[in-house]
Amino acid sequence: MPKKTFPGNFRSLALISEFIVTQAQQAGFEPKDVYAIQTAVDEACSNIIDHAYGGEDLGNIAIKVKETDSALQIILRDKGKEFNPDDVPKPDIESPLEIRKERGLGIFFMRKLMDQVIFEFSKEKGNKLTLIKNKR
Amino acid sequence: MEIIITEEQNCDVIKIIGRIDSYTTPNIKGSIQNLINNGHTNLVMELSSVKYLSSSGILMFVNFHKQLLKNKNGKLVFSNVPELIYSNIKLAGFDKLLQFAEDTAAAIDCF
Repeated sequence: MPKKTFPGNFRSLALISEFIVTQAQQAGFEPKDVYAIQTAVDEACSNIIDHAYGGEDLGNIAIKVKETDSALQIILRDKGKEFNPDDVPKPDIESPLEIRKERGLGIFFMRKLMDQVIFEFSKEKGNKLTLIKNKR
Repeated sequence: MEIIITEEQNCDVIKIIGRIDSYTTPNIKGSIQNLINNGHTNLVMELSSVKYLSSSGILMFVNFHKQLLKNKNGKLVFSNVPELIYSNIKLAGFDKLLQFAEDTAAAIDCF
């Protein structure tokens, strides 16, 4: 089970993407799904830095990738403050451009592009985010 | 990430190479804002060499588009947007709101 830990800063995002893209390709996903997985993980890590840690270089992001016959499971852990996705307003993708409020687009992408997105928190272990993409 | 700006007769072509994510967005934002502040408000965003575009990058472009629309003095036109990147822009609902051209020549013709 491939596992890597990255410093919680925006410079890590390119390296995290490289790691995830390799794993998704090795699992046999087509380019469209590889890009979807890359997007979901990138958005998740940006959220961890911005919201769980509240800034750069305040902790690490540990990533574990697990492949089964039917899916790729990516588990991200951080030691930041509890991240409650319900606290992030849903994005407004319907209103005219001039008045549209932009927020919550990262979580929207994660939910649209993955088959399952599970947020968990424990005081001892911090945030655990599981992203699952089914093989087709 | 690299930014190459070419001045055309009626617009500027901004070619971005590499990733547009939370790390690179602030630099790109600074370069575009600098152009706008100097009166360069007709902008072609050439994205053929962009490998990844995050939500922070999409929202940066949307905010520039809004800024230019509000001031009624220019616009952004996107050219050569890779299919996978376009599909995320579409997923976010911005495909109908932003302007896209098939290639850079067509984008320059929009001005």
